[in-house]
Amino acid sequence: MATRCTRGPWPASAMPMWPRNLVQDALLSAWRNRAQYEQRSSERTWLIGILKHKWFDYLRHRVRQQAAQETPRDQALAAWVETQFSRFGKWRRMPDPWPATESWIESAELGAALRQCLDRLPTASADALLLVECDDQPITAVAELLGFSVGNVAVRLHRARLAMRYCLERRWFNNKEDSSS
Amino acid sequence: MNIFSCRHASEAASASKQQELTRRARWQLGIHRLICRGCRVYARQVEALGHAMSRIASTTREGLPTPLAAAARERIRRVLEREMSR
Repeated sequence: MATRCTRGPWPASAMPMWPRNLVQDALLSAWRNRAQYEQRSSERTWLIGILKHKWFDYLRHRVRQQAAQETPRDQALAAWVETQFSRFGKWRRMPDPWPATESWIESAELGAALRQCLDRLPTASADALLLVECDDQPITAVAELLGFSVGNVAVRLHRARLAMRYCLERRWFNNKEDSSS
Repeated sequence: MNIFSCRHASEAASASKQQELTRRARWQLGIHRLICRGCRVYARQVEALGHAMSRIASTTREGLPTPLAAAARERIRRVLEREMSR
């Protein structure tokens, strides 16, 4: 698998929703464990490390809470995916090419558009997509982290990509008239 | 060997990003793409989507959480003070 993601200090899957109390938690536990801090790394790296752990703990916890079942939003997305294909499995509306990637990938508004589209996905699907695309996690790790089977994660990723593609096309490329829905 | 439908081809396009496809699936996908422009386009879009997401994650400010609101800052300060005075 190609690694296209430059890994920043932040887990990118935390991108759209970063619970504030998580930051507070991390700072608190940093303070409580300050004796363990060794000068080998900068404070910044150390703090971000703690924050990362907190985030993955939080994900696991949230997953346990929501149980590995389909939420209404999952079902709505699944139903939407069905509408994209005909009875014979052909595209109802053929994907049209996007402009060359170089012409839009640097744009400052791209982040906002992506986030809007991510927000519309079921949370677990958005998490799965972010973990795979941005944190470069293998699908087995994503499955374990989110508490789903590998097959289920694959289905979620597929649906998420279809939805993101559709959403980006309408919100970002904006070259479609609203005739498809 | 069945030829993939667009539904299957789009599933396989997504799956191939995480896992190596079986030889059979690679063939089926390849043959389907030969005859289906929509699925060729879709494969490129899935790639572009990945690029866009990783780009946002790696740029300095875009992917970062918004700065703490003043209220949260204040809450953290209070908690820390309480901890420190223990």
